[in-house]
Amino acid sequence: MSRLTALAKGASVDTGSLAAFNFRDMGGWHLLTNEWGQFLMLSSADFERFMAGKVGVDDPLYAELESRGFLKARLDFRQLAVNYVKKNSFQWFPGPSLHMIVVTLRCNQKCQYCHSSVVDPSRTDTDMDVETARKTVDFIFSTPNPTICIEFQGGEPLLNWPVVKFITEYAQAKAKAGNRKLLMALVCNFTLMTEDKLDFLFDHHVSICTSLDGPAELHNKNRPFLGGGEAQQKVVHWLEKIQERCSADPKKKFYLPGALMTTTRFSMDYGPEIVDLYVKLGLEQIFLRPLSPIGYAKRVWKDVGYEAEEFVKFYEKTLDYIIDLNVSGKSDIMERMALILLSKVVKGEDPGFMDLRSPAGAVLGCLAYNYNGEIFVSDEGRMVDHQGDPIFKVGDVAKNDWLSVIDHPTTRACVTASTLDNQPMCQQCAFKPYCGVEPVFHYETQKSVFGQMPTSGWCSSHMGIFDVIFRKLRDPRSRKVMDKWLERDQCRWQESDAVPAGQPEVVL
Amino acid sequence: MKSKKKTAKKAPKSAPYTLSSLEASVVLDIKKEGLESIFGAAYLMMDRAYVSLKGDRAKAVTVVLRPKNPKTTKLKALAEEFLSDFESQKVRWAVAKNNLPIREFIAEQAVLIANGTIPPPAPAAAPEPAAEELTDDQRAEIEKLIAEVESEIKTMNDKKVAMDPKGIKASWEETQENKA
Repeated sequence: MSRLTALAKGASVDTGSLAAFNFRDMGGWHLLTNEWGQFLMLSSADFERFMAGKVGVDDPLYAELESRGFLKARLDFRQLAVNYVKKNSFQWFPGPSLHMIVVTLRCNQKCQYCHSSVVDPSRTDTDMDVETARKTVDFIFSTPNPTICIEFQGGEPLLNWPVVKFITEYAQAKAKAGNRKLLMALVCNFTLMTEDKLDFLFDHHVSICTSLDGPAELHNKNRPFLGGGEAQQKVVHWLEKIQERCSADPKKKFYLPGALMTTTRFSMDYGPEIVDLYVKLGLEQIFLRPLSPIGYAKRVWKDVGYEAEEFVKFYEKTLDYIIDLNVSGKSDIMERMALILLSKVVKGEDPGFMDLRSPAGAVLGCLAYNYNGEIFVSDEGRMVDHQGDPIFKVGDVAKNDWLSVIDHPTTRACVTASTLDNQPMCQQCAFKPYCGVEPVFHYETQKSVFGQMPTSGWCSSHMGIFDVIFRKLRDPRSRKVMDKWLERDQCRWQESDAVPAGQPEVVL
Repeated sequence: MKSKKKTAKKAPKSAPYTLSSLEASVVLDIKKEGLESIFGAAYLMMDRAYVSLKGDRAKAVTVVLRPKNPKTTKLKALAEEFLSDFESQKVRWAVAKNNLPIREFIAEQAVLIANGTIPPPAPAAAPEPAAEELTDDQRAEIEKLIAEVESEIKTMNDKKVAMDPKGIKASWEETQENKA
């Protein structure tokens, strides 16, 4: 059987009565979804009756099929259109909202997998200069989305602190003058953090996120210092320090730092220990992310990588542990990937996650700016360039305007390849309403921006994660925990929406 | 050296496929089965098999499946998996084709709601009483409504669509000038 799953042999089907939908055999029950974002989880017996057109109007299942848009003769066109608008809200705001600026390629760590393809701290020639920084901010503010989120990345951005400060102040002045909504975030390894820098970030509403791969033995193996030393202890020190400052001042509750973990082969045996550390540090969420064989990670994949199926096993086992902690009341930590998928599936909303969109976030949702002003479809596209292939470059802040970037042939190729209706397997997949494909990933792993889904590691791992999430949704104990997560997440966004345009606010 | 004679394995009687020592082959009538379903099922096999299509695409094609891992994949199982996926492909494509005008109409409505051309529906009122068996008149009315929608879609598709209806290519300054 293919990864899509098939109908039972000899199944009776009345295609004339069925509205547009996709199905998936989940083993004992069937998942039905449609492109308006609605889903149903049916017993296999109910699924057979539905397919055969044998669900009568007095059947309790009829009303459910009708209300969710699965009966062709009973479609509420306007309501389904409204669902479609809500589910694809990212499509209605023109232009990218996320702008990732690489202020330097220098880094003081030498991570096993380093996505960012960094250079030695002595290579100051890879620092963004102030003039390029000014042109980058000007370009960002020429793009048409009313909301702008600037994210500092590297290398280690704190190695080019003067330019981080300049961009922050200049962008905030421009946002105020143009009445634009601006969010700013810094992704750094914390090893160069100081009280002065922290004061500046607090004063300018810049949210802070770091990398924390787990307990010291794991983190220091994945992310060693150049020349040796204990990197994890620094991260933990600053996480605790910032937590302390935030808890002493209720106004600073939005500054609570976030942490991201990258899953390597070495992480596989550490699921509960990683979660326990996040809980101990008071972190609200953990994001169980697979490693992508892109850029430098591709070269060392045999040392740090794994099969998609191995990641899915790790994900499910660790998610089970997190749910158990929630049920027992020992912690209310949330898992970020689950939360993203639940927002899409249960609430029918777009949580702003660039990787799982159709079309993908490349240019339409995000842009990455290299230290020298070159513009890329995404940060992953920039990493491919660092390995010597400029295929994902779409412009330069010194030479190009927004029109030439949105009209660039590479932009068009990425949009076409990542529109799921153009993908022969995705267009029939039950996870289509909530999923997305990433052109850079497939270019790196399969030498084509379109990729080949039946053999794609991206597809395997995401299908596996979706399977896990839908199984949890069918389990009342897990569902209760997940509903609480959605409720808490909703409250955070409502509080954030209160900030008026022109005023800086914090990325949640 | 004595060459090994390759013997073709026999498929079960009445099986719609043939097996050789290396490959499984299925002959399919294009007019009866439709090319999309054949392509679709062939594509889905690519994680397990090398697939080639031979023949006249106007009449019949032979789908040839050669396992990627011959040591662990049985040809008979491969052929039957293909046929199982092929049957599902026929259903998936039939449903997709039957609903194409409706999907296009709803997507068009979504664009109009999103850009404010038409208002979203008012919040739902009290739930309606349970649906009863439809009368012939009601059925006729539904058929009429569907025909109207399909006609409306055709009219919209015939209209020339602006190259940048959502103004994605406009810079921030241009969008502000237009507002002013």
